[in-house]
Amino acid sequence: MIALDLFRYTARLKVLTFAIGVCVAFIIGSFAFANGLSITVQGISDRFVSEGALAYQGPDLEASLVDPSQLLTDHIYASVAICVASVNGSERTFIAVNDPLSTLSQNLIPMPGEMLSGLVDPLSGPVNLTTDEGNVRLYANHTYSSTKFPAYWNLMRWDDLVKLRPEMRFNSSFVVFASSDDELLGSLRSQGLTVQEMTGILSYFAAGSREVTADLWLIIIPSSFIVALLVYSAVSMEVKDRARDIAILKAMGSNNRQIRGIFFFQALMLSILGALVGILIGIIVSYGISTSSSTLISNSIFMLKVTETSMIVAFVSTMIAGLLGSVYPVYNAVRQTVREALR
Amino acid sequence: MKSVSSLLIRKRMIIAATLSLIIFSATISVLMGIGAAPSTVIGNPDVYVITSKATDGLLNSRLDADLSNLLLENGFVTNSSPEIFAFAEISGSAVIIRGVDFQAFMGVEGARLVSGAMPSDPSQGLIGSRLANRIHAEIGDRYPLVGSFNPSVSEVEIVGIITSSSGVEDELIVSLPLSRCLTGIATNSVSIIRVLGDTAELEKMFGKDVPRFSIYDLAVANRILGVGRTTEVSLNLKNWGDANGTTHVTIVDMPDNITIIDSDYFINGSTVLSLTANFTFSSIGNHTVKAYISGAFPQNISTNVTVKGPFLSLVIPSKMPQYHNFTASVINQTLDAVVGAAVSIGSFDFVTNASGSCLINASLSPGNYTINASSPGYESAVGHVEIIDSSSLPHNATIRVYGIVLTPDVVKVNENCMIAFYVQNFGNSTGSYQVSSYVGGAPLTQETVTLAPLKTLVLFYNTSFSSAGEKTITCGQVSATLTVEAHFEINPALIRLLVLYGGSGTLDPSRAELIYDTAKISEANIIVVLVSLAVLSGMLVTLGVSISFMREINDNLKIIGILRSLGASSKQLLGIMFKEAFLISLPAAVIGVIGGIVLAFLISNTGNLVAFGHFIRPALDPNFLIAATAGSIAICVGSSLIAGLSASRKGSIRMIRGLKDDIVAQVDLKELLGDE
Repeated sequence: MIALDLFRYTARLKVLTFAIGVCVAFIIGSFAFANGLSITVQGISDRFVSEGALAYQGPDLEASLVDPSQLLTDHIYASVAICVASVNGSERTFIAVNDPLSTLSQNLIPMPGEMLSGLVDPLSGPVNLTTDEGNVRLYANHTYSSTKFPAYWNLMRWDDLVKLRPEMRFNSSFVVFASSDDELLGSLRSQGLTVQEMTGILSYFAAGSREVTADLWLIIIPSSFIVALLVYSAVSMEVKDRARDIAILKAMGSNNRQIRGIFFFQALMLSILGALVGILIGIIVSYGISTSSSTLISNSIFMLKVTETSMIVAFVSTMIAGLLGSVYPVYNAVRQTVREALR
Repeated sequence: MKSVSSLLIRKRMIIAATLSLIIFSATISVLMGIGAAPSTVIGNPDVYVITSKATDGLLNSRLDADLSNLLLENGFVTNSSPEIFAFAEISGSAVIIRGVDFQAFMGVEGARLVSGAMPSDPSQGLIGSRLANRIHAEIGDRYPLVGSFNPSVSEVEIVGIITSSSGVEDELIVSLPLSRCLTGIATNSVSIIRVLGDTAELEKMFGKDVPRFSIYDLAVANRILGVGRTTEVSLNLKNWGDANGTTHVTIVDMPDNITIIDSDYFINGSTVLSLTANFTFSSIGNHTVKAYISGAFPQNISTNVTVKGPFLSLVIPSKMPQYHNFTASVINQTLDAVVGAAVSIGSFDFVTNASGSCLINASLSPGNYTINASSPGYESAVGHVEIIDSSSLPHNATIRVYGIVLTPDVVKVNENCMIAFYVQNFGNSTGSYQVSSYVGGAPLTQETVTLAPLKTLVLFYNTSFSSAGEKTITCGQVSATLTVEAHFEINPALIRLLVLYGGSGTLDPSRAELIYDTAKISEANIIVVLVSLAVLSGMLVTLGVSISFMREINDNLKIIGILRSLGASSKQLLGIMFKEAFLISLPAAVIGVIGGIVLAFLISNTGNLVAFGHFIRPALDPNFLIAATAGSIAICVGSSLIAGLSASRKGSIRMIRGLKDDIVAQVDLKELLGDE
């Protein structure tokens, strides 16, 4: 059995196809915006080269324990131990650095019996450092300056730090790598470590683009609603106009299922046609916006990009919306009695 | 029977229109929210932001943190918060980190501490309540952070949760030292300064495209000088505005009230002009040289000069062995030799020769003596010499600097000071000596002198200093202190502010393209895209509503046919449709817009609507409400007319009979049934 010839009313067909097309173009355009943004952001991330990584275990650096002897890596790294000690009644953060391969390109080891203060609120003279586990007396006569650590962290020798935190004898709090690649990051993560790639702006941009893309998924909601509304109106008009045809079909012995199939098929064809038109409009519109904005606005590197994913998403959501929109009118179509319709 | 108001369009059409309009206004509201998201960085609308002028975005902006204090000192601003931005990813969320001075920040932001405490040391920080919810942060949590632009490691401990009406809700607030570690920004520099205060004054200072002038560094080359001697008066005039312009500068000598400079000067934007004039002070006494300009920032500055009558200076050794003759030289204020001056030591009198010197050949017993020099018309001079036992003289050449005389000993920045080093060979043989002088450890002068036994020499240098403060000049074992004063005597804070920072930044209430700037995407790009999306959504809704109207009219074709056959014109039919559509669209628009906003807020309150670490708040302002309502009504009425126009073209009989005039093919029953 063949279907009713699809659209007997060409004007309505044109309007509907165009309308669904605009919906799909809206979805495509929105995704093109998100994709363009992430591509642009990717371009910016590329300007910042990866400059190593920070690896630690657990939620924070104070609690973290990393056994450097267990690290399986070829990359060079510096181990750092961290300790919060009480000095003259206030809490201060101390670190000790073990960097035999000069990963940090700076000698950060104080002379025996001394500590080095950071530039913010430096200590001076002999100081007593105490923790629950021990205490040590050091001279704080000099300051250090490093771009690697905050200026309120103080430096001490590893052996002194062990007196304050004995568990640091064979462990470190965190390790700093001078360079990193995906292989290293993956390997560290598989060893149960938390890894942060440097520099932070790389991960910030990556996360930011993901957020914007996630926002634009919401665009599907209004577009799909309108598609459903369009298909609903179109199919119910069709049903009304064809009351006689339906009645004849019924009189000739078609069952309700066959008739519903005819109209569902129509709705589906309408959605497909609209989606195809929409993808075309979407590509043209996105291209148009990209080109015009780069012509109109100087220094514009912003672009819209239509991807296969966005086309598939737009297509599928239009299909689903079209079918949902046609459910009510299609079920209505078979409700009329033959006698009523043919009268 | 149907009422007249719903002859062609049934009331139920309101449902379709309302639903469409809800979608429309929600979409527009969210799109506007995306467009406005970057400005949430700035915070409340009355907060102004100062960024550096030479750079194009917040990230590259560098300002001197001192500017913040100077603005406060001048009373231009009531609150000033220097800030630095850093970026991180925490638990998969993009997080903007703001380095601040906590107290200043809370003042500008008007933020409120919801729980916890204010940070008490630089390792502690605050978190916005919305971000805290998103990443499940609690008080006491520590977050390890890596540098945003450079490799570094640090950690912040959350001690308080704050809430604010701005984007700070989505941010991590840390101390300035921590943010400097994260960004590599040098000590004393910050990215931006956010201020609350006298916007008019701030606009004057940082406003664009206007010339602005400041005068500073008013200097007279000699602070103490002889009457009738010509000296140089200099003044720097800076145009710290963007535009070129002309200003009038006046310099007068008080109390004589003689004009030194009184004219207009044209200066290009952001440049400094040095004005100099030679001037001769004509009266003896204390003079004040005053310089002033008028304009948006009227300023006057002054410097003091002592004008002396002619005076003498005496050049003599400080120490001489007994039975040795020595030379006393007399010079005047212009360093010229004075002939015929009377020189007396003890009871002996001498007269200077043609070269201004005389040989002292008096026989004096060991002890301290005072030497007087006088000449008619000059202020006389006094010197001291110590006569010592010859046997205590060393055999070798022993050259020492025994005195430093600063004339004057108080100068202004860049003003000349004459330094005289008195050198003598105390030994019994001729020798050379390198006279090196230092200012606070830095070399100042160096000269090698050769002196015969017991000879004295005076080395003169003119020098000036570009910074204010006490300068200790040392040479050998002697030293002298020169006081260098700043020029800013009147309203020093204002002039310092203007000269150092005037025009160095730009002030903007809406300068917030943080992310866009970073991405080198101009705001215009984003607007083009968002407007395009908005137009598309408008078209979309128009089409949706039109199709619904078409369906309505399609259902009521019979009535239209009857009206037509009763003699109604297309115009009248359209009139009826317009009226009915309008009556439908009015409530639909109101309900639709309200519903749309509610929907938008429901969506945004799920907390999923985030872009680059900042929450997107749907737009909600009166202009938006009016525009959305008007737009919705226009969409409905326009749609009904589109539908009506197509219907009114149909023949009336066909409509009444329910026949269609655009059937392209008649249905073939056999084909229909599929049994050919």
